[in-house]
Amino acid sequence: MRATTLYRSVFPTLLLLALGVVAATFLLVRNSVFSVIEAEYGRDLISHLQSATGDAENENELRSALIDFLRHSNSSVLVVDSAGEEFFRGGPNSSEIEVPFPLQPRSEEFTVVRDAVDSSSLPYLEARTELFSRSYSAVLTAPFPLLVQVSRGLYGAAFIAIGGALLLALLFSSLVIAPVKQGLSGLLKLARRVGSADASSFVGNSSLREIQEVAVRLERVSRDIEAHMDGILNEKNETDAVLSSMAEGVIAIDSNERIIRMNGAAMDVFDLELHPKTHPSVQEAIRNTDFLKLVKKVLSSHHPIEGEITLLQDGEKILHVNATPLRNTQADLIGALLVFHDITNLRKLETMRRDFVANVSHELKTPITSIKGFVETLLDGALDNNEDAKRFLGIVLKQSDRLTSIIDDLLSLSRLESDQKNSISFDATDVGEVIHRACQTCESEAQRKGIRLKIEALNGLHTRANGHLLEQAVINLLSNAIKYSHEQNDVIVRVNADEHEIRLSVEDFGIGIPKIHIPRLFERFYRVDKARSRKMGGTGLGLAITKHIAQLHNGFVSVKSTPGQGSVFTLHLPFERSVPKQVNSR
Amino acid sequence: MGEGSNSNIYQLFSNPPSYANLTPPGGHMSSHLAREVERLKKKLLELSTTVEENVHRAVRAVLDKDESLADAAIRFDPKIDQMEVEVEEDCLKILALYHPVAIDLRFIISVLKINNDLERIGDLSTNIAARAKSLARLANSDTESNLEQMSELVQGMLRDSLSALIRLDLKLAQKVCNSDQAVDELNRETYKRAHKEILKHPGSVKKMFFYVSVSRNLERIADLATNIAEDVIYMIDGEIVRHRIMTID
Repeated sequence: MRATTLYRSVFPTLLLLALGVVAATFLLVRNSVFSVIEAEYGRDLISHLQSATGDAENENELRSALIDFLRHSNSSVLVVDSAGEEFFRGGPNSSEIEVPFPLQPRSEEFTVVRDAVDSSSLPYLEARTELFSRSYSAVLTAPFPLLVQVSRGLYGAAFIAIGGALLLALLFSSLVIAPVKQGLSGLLKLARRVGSADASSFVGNSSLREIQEVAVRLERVSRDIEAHMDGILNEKNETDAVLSSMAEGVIAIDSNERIIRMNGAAMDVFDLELHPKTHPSVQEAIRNTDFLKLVKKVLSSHHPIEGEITLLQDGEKILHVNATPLRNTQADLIGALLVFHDITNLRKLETMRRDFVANVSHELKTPITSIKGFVETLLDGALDNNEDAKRFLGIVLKQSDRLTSIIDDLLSLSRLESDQKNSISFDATDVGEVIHRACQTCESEAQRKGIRLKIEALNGLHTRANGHLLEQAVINLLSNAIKYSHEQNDVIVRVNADEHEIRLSVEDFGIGIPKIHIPRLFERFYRVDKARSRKMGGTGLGLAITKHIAQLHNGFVSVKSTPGQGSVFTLHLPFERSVPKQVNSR
Repeated sequence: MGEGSNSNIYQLFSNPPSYANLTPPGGHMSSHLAREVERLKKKLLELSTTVEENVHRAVRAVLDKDESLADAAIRFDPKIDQMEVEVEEDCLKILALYHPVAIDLRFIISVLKINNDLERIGDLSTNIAARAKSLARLANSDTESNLEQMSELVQGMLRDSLSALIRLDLKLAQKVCNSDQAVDELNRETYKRAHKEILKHPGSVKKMFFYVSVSRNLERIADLATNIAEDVIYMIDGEIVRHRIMTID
């Protein structure tokens, strides 16, 4: 149905009503006025005729009386006798008068017949009566100009009435509509604001109670909606906050495999920058077949699934994923929720532990096997050969030294790990002195390969440290540098400092370390090249010990290395300048 | 009454949003066609992801001397081939059933071409994996190489070229085309280095051959990624040209 405006629907109704009233009134008035005038005029005519013919005593006299009557008026007359024979016909229009039927009029007096003989000319009045003591019937017609005048006046009045009705309809409709319209437009404004904060204070804007009631209801609905919207918004914000502050990555996917939602952790893991309004497909956003398989599986099986996926982008990441189907209130599947957390570190620790156990048993087993083998050989008769026996016992001694050093290192490592910081004494230590002592210790080893140890150290640099442990750390770094240097090369020990830290660095120009080994370098017994480094005679624990010593001093160790060009190991220690004063005050 | 209206309002807002009516870029195509194109996109993306991962796997196998990883990469090749066939069949089906025009047609054609390129990349990754196996069996196979840098660059190109296809991103596609030179440069460097190394240590000929081969395969992958990016540029440019004709009219 097509909607019209209020005005268009009310005005025609009112107009029709007014016109109907005007027309009915007009017809009623016209009819009653006409009948009164007709009766009056007809009676007048007939009384004239009767008075003109009342004195006639015979037919001739009647005829002459009739002629006399006609002479004085503009009427026409037809008189018939009782048999219907024409007795007299006269007057200007007498030829058009027909013989009346029935011959005898019912009434004694007259009958008024209003008749316009010719519609173009003036209306005529036709009257009938009896003449000459009922032996003749007369039909009398006369022009009736009065009727025209009266009806003209009536029509004029009717036109004025119609105009009035039109005006009235206009007036009434605008009078009736105006408040309704005003109220409705107020309601409309109110309705437009529903749900926003400023939809209030309508009451009193309309004089119509119905509209006011609607407005009150609307305001209440608006308040309800607003409250609900606020609630929903708050809920959404809370959910967003919860999601975004989760350490686990969360991705919600609809049944068309499009991403509906994704939290910050998930974006970080997959290295994505997603606009929340765009809903890309999973395939587009996440380039990982394991993940896509998991999504497909959970969407088709409708059951929660767990799995592990490996991300390949820059450095492998291992994720543990929980995929759960999402259902709406009707329990239909509408998507899937994938929650995952990074278990790379966990895995790394596991491998580290596994490798450690394997390595430690291997490292311990090697010298023992060797010792056992040579001792058995000695017992089997090699003891008799003095030369061989000496050589074998030398080897046994060397292997047991190695065993001792491994166990010593393990012990010192475990002591470093278990010792609380407060059980180790920290004093003001001259860093330069520590370096010199360490270099002296390694001097003989260096000379054997023709390596010169160069020291570029600032003098008089003091910091709070355990001198003995620090020396141990530097010795470890130095002996590594010497071991992996080519012969006749330099090893440079540098000490420099800024406001925050002291850096002890040991630089060599040896074989260097490939990039992939660097993250695991400080693990116990980790070896870059398994065959080579054991031959060099290290325990595989040196760097691990150095790292622990650095950590005890709240510092750390960093490595820069280029394969084929050499490495720089740097011990970063926090610089505590105020230490000597503290010592003095004690 | 208040209660009733409240719960209705709540239901109105708690209904989950539906994305079924979203049409992909392309405008006035029938919903069936839109759905098929969307599916095709997903399939192509799946293929590209698989290929990308396989390249990564193969390169990792070379760098880590990991024979089992190389085997895994080789095992993936038949799967990639099968996916390629599926994508091609889907393309033909769409062409036959829906008679796509304009951007849709160009998209399908581009997918057909890119599909081919991806399959070739898959083959090349298998080649690399085979070299990785040979290298792993060699004693003393370490050498300085820029393979890691090169493979990172190549994989980035591959990823970007596919992203450019999906998002119709002209800039990204051009970036891929520009990266090709860098890869060529790295490839040349590998050749030079191998040359020097072989002159210095003739015993390392075999090893260096393998490295050169891996480098060459990577360079070929970069070329194919550039091809994909060029197809994407063609697709987008086609649209721009059409618009220009319309404005002249």
